[in-house]
Amino acid sequence: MPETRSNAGIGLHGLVKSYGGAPVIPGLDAELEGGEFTVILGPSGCGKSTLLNCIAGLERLTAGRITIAGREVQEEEPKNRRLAMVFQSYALYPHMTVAENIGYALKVARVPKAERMARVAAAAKLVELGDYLGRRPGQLSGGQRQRVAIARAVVREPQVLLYDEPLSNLDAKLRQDMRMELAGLHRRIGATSVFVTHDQVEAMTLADRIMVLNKGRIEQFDTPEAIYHRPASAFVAGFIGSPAMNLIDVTGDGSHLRLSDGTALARHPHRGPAILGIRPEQVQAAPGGIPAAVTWREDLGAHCVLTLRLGDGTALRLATGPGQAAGTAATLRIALPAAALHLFDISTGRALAAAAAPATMKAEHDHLPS
Amino acid sequence: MIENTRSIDRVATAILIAGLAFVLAPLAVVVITATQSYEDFLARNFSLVPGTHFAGNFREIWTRTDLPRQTLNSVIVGAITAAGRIALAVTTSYAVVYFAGRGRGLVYAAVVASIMLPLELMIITAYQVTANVALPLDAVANMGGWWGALFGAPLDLQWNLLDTYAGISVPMMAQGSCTLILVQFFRTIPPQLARAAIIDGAGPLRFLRDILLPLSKGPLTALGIYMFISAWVQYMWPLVAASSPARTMAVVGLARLQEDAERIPDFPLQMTGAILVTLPPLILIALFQRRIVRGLTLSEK
Repeated sequence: MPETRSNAGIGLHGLVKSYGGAPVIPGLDAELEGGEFTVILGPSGCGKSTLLNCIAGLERLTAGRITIAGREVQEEEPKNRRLAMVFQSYALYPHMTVAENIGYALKVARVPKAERMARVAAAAKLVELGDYLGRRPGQLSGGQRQRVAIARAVVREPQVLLYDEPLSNLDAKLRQDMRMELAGLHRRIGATSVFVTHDQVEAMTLADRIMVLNKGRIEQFDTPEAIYHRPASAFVAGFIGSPAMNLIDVTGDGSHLRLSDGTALARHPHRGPAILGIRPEQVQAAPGGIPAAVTWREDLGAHCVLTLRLGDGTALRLATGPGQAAGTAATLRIALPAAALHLFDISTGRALAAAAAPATMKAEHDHLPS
Repeated sequence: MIENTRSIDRVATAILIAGLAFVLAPLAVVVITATQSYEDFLARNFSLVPGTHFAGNFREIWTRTDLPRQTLNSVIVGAITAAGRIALAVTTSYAVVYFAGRGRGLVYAAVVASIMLPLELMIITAYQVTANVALPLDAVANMGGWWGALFGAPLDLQWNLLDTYAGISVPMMAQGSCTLILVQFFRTIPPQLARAAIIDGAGPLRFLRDILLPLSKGPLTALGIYMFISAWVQYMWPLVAASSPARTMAVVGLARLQEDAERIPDFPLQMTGAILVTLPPLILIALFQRRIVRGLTLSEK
């Protein structure tokens, strides 16, 4: 299959979806570019699957418009939107063979049999399923079923490919393999892809851009790099990264950020209350720093995660560098480097502009979650 | 639960044997009596000594009574009734499970309530309507006499279905137990299948034909056989709805074998007839036994 890039961008304009008066998506605008791999990331119940179903046409919009390749589709039947979908539980037809499953959409669309067979074979080859065309889904492993589901989606040569948590039923090892395969597949077929997940690793590794969704609203829609290094809100900061970013209530006096008991945590010109964010891997052990009691120690092999308690009882996590021993000390002195700080508004949770950390935190690339 | 205690095994076996004897004893009497001749029977009354006259009894049933014809009637009416019930159940269940229409709960409740209303309760009304299917239409048209005022004479359409296969089977179709079971089965089918089918471009009828019905093959077969048998053993309605021997169903015909109240009943002949009438459903169950059991566990794997 040639390396092409779909130019079917998806536009979401003032999209509202409510169930019986309760809005799941209270109003959402976004532009997904053609050929882009967008991951919609969020906790369960944030409306991400609803959003995907709205794009697919499985759910009717309460208000708003959806465009695909510039064409309004919100009143169109799903089959006329030129899209395909991969479901979480595969949703294969159990009574049909692999070939019949893959070819069903073509059969419904009355594609002549010879062409249908050829396209089914090509799609099966794409996901390396050629030997299993005569089997039934019940005779396949989870990973193979997922491949059938993907082949069933790509066989129609859709402009848009939608994935609804497709990897969440697989075990960890298989999930990693499938991630790589999905990325490769996307490079080969180049369809505009929308991938819904609650797994930040999938989001970080697959996405061109991540849309972080919280309670039906976009918290941030940006590249994985920007999402990680320049989280636009405390929600994003706490959601992305493992272990999660420390979020501490502080008060700025113009020169320092202080805890409620007055301990100065870091130098910063901010005045007034704020939420201070710092990634555990950027908390440094420093002689002469802030005293902290070690309350819990997790040795993960590659690095250790310490849970610390600061003077006023605030918990803080520290991740040591690779291979660095955690030590056994009951107390530790730590420092929070100014360049690694994120500041968020105490009421809205949005990032405070002045506090945006510089993007050139080279060392952080070693700490992408894996 | 697996128990290996020997005393429990013995008690269980004893209970099973007792139960078996209880169920089989009447059948044994039927089979033994069927082998005796009328003369034997007159001489010795009921006895448990098997005779040698079964072939003769059977020949008499086969050549001199309407029972073979009536058995065929039962097969036809049973098949029509079962097919009708299944068709109604499939469409109703499909609507109830897959379509979020208003009042679908009400429809479902009404259908299920029909299980509690056997045909016997409405037998007079059912008879009237079957005797003239146009009766409700006539009644509405003549309400307040407006049809007569408009056209000079009251509407008097006649369409008598008594003594026809349709007349016997159609009223028996209106029965909700199939719907109850199918609704439960449809609910076990992952809803994502329907969504996948929509994305694949299949409309509602296409989904029903290509996916839902093939997946329901097991339960449908089981239900079909159950419904066939439950129509087979119906007595009251077929007795009322069919009067000519040529349309009477087997069970009714069996009861009519002995109409001459003066004579001592020819029990050996009746028992032979009973065996003939029992055979078709028995063969059906024997053939589909495994499917029935699998179909009713309501899981498709």
